[in-house]
Amino acid sequence: MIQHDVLIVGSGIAGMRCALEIKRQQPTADVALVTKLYPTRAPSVIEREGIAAALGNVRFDETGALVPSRGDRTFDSPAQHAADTLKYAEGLADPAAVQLLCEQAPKAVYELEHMGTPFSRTAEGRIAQRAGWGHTQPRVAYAADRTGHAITHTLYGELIRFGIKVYPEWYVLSLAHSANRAQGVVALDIRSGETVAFQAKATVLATGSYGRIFGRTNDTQSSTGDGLALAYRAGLPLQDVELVQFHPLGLYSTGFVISERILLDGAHLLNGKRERVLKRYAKELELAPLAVISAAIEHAIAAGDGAGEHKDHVWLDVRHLPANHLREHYPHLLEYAADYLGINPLEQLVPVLPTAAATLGGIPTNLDGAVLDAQQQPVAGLYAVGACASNGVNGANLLPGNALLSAVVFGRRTGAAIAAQLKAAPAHGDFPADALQQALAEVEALLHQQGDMRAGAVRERLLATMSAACGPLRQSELLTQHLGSLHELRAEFNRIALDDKGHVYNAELVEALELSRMLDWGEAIIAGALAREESRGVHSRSEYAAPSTAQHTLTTRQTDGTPQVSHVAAPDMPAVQA
Amino acid sequence: MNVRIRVPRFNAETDATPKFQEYTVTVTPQTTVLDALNSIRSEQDGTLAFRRSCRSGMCGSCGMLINGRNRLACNTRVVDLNNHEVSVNPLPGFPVIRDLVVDWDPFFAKDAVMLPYLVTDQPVPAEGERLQSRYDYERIDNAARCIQCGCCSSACPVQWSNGDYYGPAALTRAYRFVEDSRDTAVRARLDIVGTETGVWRCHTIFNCTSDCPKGVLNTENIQALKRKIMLTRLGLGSIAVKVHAPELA
Repeated sequence: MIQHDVLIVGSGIAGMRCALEIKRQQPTADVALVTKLYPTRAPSVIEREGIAAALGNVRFDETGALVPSRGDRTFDSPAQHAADTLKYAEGLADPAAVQLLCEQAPKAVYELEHMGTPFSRTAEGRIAQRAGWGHTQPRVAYAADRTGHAITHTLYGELIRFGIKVYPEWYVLSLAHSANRAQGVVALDIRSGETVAFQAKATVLATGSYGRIFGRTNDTQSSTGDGLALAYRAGLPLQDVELVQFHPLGLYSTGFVISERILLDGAHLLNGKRERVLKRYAKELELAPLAVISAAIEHAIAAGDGAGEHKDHVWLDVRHLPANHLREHYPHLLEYAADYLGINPLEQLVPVLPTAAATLGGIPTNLDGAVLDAQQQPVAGLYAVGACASNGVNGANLLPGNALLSAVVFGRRTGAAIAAQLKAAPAHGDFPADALQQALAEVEALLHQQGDMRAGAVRERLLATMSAACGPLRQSELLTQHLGSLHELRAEFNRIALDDKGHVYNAELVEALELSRMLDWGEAIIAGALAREESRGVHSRSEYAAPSTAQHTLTTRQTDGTPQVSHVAAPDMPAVQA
Repeated sequence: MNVRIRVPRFNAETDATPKFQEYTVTVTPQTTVLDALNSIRSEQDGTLAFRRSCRSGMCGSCGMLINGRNRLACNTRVVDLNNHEVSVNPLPGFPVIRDLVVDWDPFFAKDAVMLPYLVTDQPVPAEGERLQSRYDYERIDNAARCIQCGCCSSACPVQWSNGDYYGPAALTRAYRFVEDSRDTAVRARLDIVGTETGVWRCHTIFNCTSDCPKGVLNTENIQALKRKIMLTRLGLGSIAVKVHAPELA
């Protein structure tokens, strides 16, 4: 058995920031990260847009142009940032959480800069900021169009500076808990095939988003919601997992997001007849809310107005925009179009359609990152940070730049809370005797399972089912039907046989383990979507046009494996200040 | 269109040499090499081992030798290879664990030697960020694009013959901090890269620059480090030596 004071599952920005804060506050603490990737390969690196904070380095002038503001906060403030965030969250965010997020934002971003993050700069040498969809001031700080990559590599450097131990390419199989306390995890060393128990006084889930369960997504192939599965299988609830942000500008064939800023800059969306898609759906045309644009594209395709051979997408038209502007501000668009479609957006139309861009729900936590059980009580020794956690900042929609921000702010805050706990913490608890055996049994059973199905085929059907059931537009009938499909898929999973029976780097085994977990908590998404009888933010139900009472869904796994959804009232919004 | 994909099958624990295996995959104009490998694993042969994650050329997991060049499987479309036959091999010069999966430990160990974090004797400002001019930002912009995919180090003949050579990825990492206007550990890093396993092993072959999928100017960075070391020895160390990326010049 391997022992550490703190074990962090996941090595993205939230996990690394948390580890770093524990080490800063408690240098003697023994902190380790266990990840199925390598830290520099964490899905955080694909976050292009930036990190939001009211730094006041630039502001809009009367004409809407960006002008230097030199850190003057008269035009922007954390309060304004919080107001924008709450407005965008459509009544489901926790005002206290949002206030904390926005107040801590400037300090969190400055700290990243002090660590050496290569942020782009204004002409005055300050951190560059740009406009973001839904932000009233230009407050999205960025490092070219690879902000997540820049922060990830900086934090990775800090891990090395502090000598924080990393276990790369280990897949965490289960949470160990006894005496109402998390005691660590059991994990599979992908490289050797060995299954090992890790004991810790504090266990942190930092496993990122779960968008890989959808067929068309911006997320990585690794974003399989493993942390959600760990909590869900341990009997803990998942909160608001049905809330998934769909982005209208997903690149055809890959689902990669093209920044929505390009719509603010005047890009057009055209249907198969080369007409503006939104003319029929929104008077603001391409400046309508993103959820409206996504829905309009889905409607247009359903109505047979799609473009291309299969009428299965629409066109993004940027040909009328200045080439230099596109090269400077949207290098990812030109790169994606050339690499994945072999086209040049300066001269050709780019095929796009809605894609799953961000997952808003997760493991419920309080503002110190402590995981909450079904009775809203903290589970001793268990924390969750980053995109896998649901602490009230997201609400029913997510502003650009707030995802990276909450990973950094709450990673840091949770790290501080753990460091304080460690000072008072006793020795390691009792690691449950059967945890290792149970995890080992799961792996061996899967390796030797006989059957006539391929794991890959079941996965393809799962992704298709989730996309069909829980896309931008949701209907009761389809949701109920696909809840049934998921039951069938679970039965099919018991008929799969792996080709690879080996132990060394058995990637097929790891993908099958991910799949078995997605089949579990995927059901929580559909059940949550069915129970959320309203349209609010990113969640759009055809039968319910308006928002109902603001409440969170909490989905728990019952003993027979089926999900049970309950509702919790969302904290009240503060009275709107005049 | 059908293409044949040829992959070496190897397990370091049991095999002395790889055996080659061919798979036939149906591709569309959009199919990437990674898509093809994914389809082999999920539809034909689950035992094929390779790494992948982000699919978008940012995580650096899927660096491979594809039809003779080191590239990322995820952003290389099969049609762009102009061939009905595709050979996919693990990154040359890296120890192979299994099939296309190589051992990253030596690579990341060399990176860690470069002090890959900001070192400065200047105090942290009480309020706000450290200022950095756009000119100074552009000095590190190109090197900071590195995704640690290993395509450069794996393309380097010196690396093939001398496994102790730090290699272009680690040296570019050193360069990124040496050129950072906020960092003051220039001499410490020049001492590290100026050793026998450092920049002087580089024979300016430029394979590392030409195979970098992110356009990082690795050989140029190594040359700049060499010049900096010499200028420092001559007592002219304060002279900024900057590599001009073509798009920035």
